[in-house]
Amino acid sequence: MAANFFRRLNPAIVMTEKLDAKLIAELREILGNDAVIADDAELLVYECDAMTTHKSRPLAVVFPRTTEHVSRTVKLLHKHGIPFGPRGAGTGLSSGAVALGCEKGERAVTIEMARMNRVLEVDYANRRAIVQPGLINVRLSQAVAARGYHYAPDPSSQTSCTIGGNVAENAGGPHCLKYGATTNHILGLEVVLPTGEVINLGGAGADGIGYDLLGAFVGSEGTMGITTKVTVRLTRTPQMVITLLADFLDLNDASRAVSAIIAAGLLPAALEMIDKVVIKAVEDSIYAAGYPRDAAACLIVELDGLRAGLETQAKQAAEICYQNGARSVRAASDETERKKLWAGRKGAFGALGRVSPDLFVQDAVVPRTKLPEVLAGIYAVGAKYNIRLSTVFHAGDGNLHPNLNFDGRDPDEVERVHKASKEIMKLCVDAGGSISGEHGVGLDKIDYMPMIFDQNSLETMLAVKDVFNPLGLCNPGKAVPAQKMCREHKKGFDFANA
Amino acid sequence: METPQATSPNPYTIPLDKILHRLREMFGEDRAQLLRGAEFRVAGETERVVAFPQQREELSEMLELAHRERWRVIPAGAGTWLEMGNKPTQMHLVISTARLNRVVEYEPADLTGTVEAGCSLTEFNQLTAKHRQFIPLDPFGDPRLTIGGTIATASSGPLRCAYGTPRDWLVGITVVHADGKISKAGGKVVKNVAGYDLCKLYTGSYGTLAMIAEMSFKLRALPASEKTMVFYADDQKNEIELLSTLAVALSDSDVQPAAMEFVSPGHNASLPLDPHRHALVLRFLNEPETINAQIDDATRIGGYCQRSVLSEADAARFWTAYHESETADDWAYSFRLSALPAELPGLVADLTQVLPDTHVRAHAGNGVVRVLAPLGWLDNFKTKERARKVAEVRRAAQARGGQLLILRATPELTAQLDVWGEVGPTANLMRALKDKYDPQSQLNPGRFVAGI
Repeated sequence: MAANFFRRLNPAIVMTEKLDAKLIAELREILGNDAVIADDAELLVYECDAMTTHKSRPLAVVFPRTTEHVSRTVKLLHKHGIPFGPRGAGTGLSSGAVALGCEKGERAVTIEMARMNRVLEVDYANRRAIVQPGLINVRLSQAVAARGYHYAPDPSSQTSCTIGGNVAENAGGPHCLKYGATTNHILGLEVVLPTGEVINLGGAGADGIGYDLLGAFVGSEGTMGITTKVTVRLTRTPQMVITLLADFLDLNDASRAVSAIIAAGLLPAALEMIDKVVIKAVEDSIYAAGYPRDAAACLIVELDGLRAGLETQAKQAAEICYQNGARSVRAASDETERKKLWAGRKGAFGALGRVSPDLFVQDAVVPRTKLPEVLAGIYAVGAKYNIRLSTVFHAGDGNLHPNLNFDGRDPDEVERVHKASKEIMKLCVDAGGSISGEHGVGLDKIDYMPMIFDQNSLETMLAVKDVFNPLGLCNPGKAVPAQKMCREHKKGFDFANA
Repeated sequence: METPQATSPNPYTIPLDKILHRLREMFGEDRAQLLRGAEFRVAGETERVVAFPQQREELSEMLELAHRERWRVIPAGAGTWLEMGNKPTQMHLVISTARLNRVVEYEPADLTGTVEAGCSLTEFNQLTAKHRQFIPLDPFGDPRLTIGGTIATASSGPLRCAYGTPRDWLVGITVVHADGKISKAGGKVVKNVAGYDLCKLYTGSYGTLAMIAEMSFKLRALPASEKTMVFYADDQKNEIELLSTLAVALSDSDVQPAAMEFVSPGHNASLPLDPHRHALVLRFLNEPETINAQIDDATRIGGYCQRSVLSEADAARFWTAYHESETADDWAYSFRLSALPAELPGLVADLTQVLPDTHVRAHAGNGVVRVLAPLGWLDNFKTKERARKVAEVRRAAQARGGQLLILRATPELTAQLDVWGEVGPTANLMRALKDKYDPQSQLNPGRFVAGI
């Protein structure tokens, strides 16, 4: 159960295994010469995603342009028993796109979906769009904005992350407090199963019949197959948006204000908290948003919806902030200021790059009423291990992002980060929370899974995985800790008779 | 001790009193009953054994016993959905979670709650209403309907227009497997991506994978006020087209009703509507000033229709009667058609062309149409033609990207038609899934899609 990200921090990359030249030629034949990378130097950039602590250089990276490309590639790899995994923009924060093989040290082929990036159809009458998985999240909202719609899930990385990656991780974002996460906005998927078979999940009328395979697939982190087409729900763009910035001299007051806003029955579109370390980092950076530098914490409270009645809600939210000790609450005066407030929030992880070369971002969730005590606990852990710790997070749904700044070249600090993050995780789980709210388990948090799921529960998940991915070749080592090495799964794992 | 017969049972030769005796011996007199009549009736049988576990562990032990004895189990909550589905190929025992009905945890300030499967949705929402909160689901049917049953059948009602369906509110689940093992998925927090989202898989699985023991939900704040608005088409010849076009236009506007129901004449209840005309009924739940602004917007968009805002009393009467009448005993037939929302006018036109004189209701914002009809409805057609007509409507729905689900029909009709319809190429995955969960097909055998 020990978190062994430390062990993987600077793994000795096994270079012995290489793809057979004949196989590379076959891949080139399927995908074209410009769509296969197999040169080690070129592969370097694909050895990790945005969580740089885990690395494994792929055997090759392929760039399909069509569903058929994906299907034929997967069929070929499946035939040869070579592990593979999908990748979008590589912005993931759980090492879900790292090309792990089945055995320790083994590598895999990365199927990079970036070239399948078109909007295929926009259907306003049914308030949906059909897109390719490599489409950048924000591009979809831009494409439908003029007609008064947007795509609601908005991860902080939305200007670079892909819809396909969002589907794999069930990505969230600040606005999922009101609008729900990716899973609530996916109506159908075309998927290449790990055997190469192409299948459609959901997507027909409002209510599918039979098991909700679509629901199980979303958030399966690329372990059930590769998404090649996505039907998403389009959301009406609100008539009006009011964004408040409340600042507090005591962080506990800010978290109490969060609980009070939720308890009052207000449903802000977003409710975000930023602590003083992050405020300073942001204000020192190009994302400077005008957050008060002397505040212990700021809340961004965004209310949206129909014009009528919105100001009443905003007033109520502001009053609650004042009642809980806010020093000041101000509303963004125009769209420019509003965007600036958000640019600071969404750029926070980038800004923290100023603090140290490496950043370890956690993603635990706790019940909202537990925020004050859990936050106090987290800072105490940071102090105990002498770590530059900060938090910037989706306070409204209790989704914490403690950031542990460190220097990967300092083994002692790395060790302390490792211990602290484990302790923080335990703190959140003990408070009734979960190990991940939106980043996914991936490789990064896989050793934490037994903290929240017992053996039966993990085996049940593996049984479901077996249905989709019986050989375990598709994105091995992610999401749910395997009980066996892959390829052994051939017979399937019969938990009911185990 | 296992009896020789128990290890290789022929379902129709295990005497019910033997099952009853075994259950009572192990779990106590009050934990199992032999019931006759309509209560917990599954498929027209005259009597059945029903077990009532009171703890999760007891449910697990009962399923373990059934597993050992190879008894086929029909999972149930309050028993209000048992008539739905294909006729089970075998059944020995109904296990009802009706007494597994505690509220495990409710923290108003977190807007979350955890309940046991047999907890009644109505009662839970009465409890949370004290804190001005609710699970925003309003499935049709008996008020005894359990929350477990709502999830198992993915039941929704008119409020899905604004609030979505059960899959959108369930955040965690504990289930008991066919062999008695207990597992869970999700958690108690409102946002969670750890592990596969098996909550979705159990929602709408009709008890064919495992039995639900406990669930955690997100809640919503109760709206401050509500109003109901009714539209009638001026031109009575084109009522369906005018009203369904209006529904499509409203859906593509800033008007955001909590419910938008299309209702044809011929309803059985005393709905406070014009009994001879089609109507589009909008329910708004919000702050008063927000509702008024929306009514103004809706009035502008639907200017070509007659409209009125119901009095508070009429509105309350309408929604109560509308809910109760949907599953009333006088409907011998109840179908649910589903297609893309904008296909609504076509879907209703197809339907009324093939099967005239049908009472139709629709979640107009969601493309879900319900067909309700009394016994004798298909009497104008010859016996063989009846199933053909329904199949024709099903094909028409499929051509519009949807399907037709038979919730209730005469045995004559369900003998000729699969109540679910074709699943398509995903059937193999579904069967494989069932095989993993319940390799001996002990839970609801044959009742679900694709022979599951």
